[in-house]
Amino acid sequence: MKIYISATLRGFFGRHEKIDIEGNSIRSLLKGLTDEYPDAKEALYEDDGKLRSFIQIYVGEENVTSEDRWDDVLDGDSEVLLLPAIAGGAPVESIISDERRKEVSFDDAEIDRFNKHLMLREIGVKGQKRIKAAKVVIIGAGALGSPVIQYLAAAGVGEIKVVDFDEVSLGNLQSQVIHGKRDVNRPKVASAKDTIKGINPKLNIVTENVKVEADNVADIIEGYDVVVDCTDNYKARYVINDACAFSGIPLVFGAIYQYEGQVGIFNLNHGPCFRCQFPAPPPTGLVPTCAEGGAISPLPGIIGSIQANEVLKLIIGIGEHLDGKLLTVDSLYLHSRILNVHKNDRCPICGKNPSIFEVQDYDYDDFCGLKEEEEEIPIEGIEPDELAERIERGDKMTIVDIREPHERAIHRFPDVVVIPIGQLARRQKELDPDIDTIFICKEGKRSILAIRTLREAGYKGPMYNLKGGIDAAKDIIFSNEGAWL
Amino acid sequence: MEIHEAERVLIYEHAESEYPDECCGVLLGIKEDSLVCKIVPLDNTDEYGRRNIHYTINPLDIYKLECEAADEGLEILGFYHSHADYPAIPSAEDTRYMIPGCSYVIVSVDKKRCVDMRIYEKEAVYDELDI
Repeated sequence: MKIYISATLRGFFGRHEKIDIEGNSIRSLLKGLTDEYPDAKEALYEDDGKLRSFIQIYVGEENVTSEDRWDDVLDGDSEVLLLPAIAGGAPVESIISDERRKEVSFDDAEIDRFNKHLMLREIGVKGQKRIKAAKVVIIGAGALGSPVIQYLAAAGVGEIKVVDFDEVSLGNLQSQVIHGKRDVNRPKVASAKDTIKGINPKLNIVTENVKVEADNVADIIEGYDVVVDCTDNYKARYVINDACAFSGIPLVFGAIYQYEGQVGIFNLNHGPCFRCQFPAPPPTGLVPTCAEGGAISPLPGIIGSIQANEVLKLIIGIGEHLDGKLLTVDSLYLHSRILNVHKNDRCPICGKNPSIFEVQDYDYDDFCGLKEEEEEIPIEGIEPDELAERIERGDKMTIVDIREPHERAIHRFPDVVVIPIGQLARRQKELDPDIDTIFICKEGKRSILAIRTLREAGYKGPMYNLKGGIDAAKDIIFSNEGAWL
Repeated sequence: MEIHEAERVLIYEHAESEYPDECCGVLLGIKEDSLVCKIVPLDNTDEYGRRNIHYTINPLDIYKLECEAADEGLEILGFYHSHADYPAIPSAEDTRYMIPGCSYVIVSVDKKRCVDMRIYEKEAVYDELDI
């Protein structure tokens, strides 16, 4: 089979324009070529055996450079072309201007403290000055925020703003390593501030104990060089992305789910935004419910550390970063890969015909189908302490646990009927319509859906929803469960 | 390698007209003379919204162009592209895509005006190891 060699590559092949090689696939032709021209092997392949970036292989007009096409069987009269890839672009530039860098100076203690950075050729004094001049806002002082805040503080970022509305709970300590036992019930931002002060009391720390929403997000991020999204929900993610896209502030995004995590950079130099890849939140049914939450302890440490590393690279202006890319890491099987995120000309925010012109709150409860609609018959609820009293009294009632099997491993009610939500309508005969039936789930939202499902299926008995679910009831009903788990 | 003033001006004009996007094109000439005697502007086929920091040339455009150039007795000596509001120094990505033996011209455009032009060439360094 004849292979056409581009003039730009002929130097590696004895300046021949066409070379005849036996073979019927790209793999066999490449092998034949390098057997005949052994010197070309080093020109074509990297040390790790991958094809060099500047080589492109075409069959006719079709690009078959990707190795998964190399075993395709070729027609005898196919035209195989070895062509150059010509690409490049301006170097990565720091997001901190030279003017701001020059305004910064160091004292002796700082030279000592940051000497491991100063020793690196790519960082040095200039890079460390950019880090000190930088202003970073971190939204979420939880699992991802913990490593991001601590590493950026340790690296010497001059001004750090931490935003979180929540308080520390015992269940946070498994992965939110910025907080300790003594911080339980304190605002997360206060606890985070103490930790930063412990690392470096000279840093300028700003905290805001608020929930990020459409009407406050612009003020929260204004004047900052980069925003780090360490939140745990779609609503906040879209509000943050949209605000960053409108204000032109780059966003370092991170997310975790069970054993997997993602990191990406959006809105950098008019590059793609989060909505270019995910124009709107996922459709109903694909949203992970509270039943599927949870993550292995070190996962946010891995993902958050990568986020902090990307922030520093943007500030210093070095390396290749995840601009327009999404890194996914699977910590269970140790796979990682980088997906390309393309600028989408149909993006509702930064595309050619945008449809969103201001940051809006997304009504996620409504979207998930969990919101109570006004015209529907209201669902009667029961408070956890009232349920505890009724259990104590030995009232005749049926308690139905609609949680998934793995969720039922903790906080088990004695004498409950276990019916997963999908089987309720079919198994309604197991319930006694003459007595009260109480539905329980983790947060008291799926149980509303359960009652509605049964009503639609024609069940007439009295039904109650345990308000706030097991999360609200656990201190009242399960105070000593750990002893017998 | 030498580039005549007329060709330089054409490259500058192309770079300034594409600003704030990066421009790109091909340098044609005769290898033995080390002289660029024709430049051919090509489309930056990078995706929408990224052309201000990246450029990509379609390999099939190069194939077509080099076949036509051969008929005129010319060959590809290298390529040119511009950096918008950034110095004419190669990025890590520029270097990765450089083919040893080809010349790469980088033009720096500062606020719609060309301010610098430099030429780079990558040496093929494939060290032979003792067995």
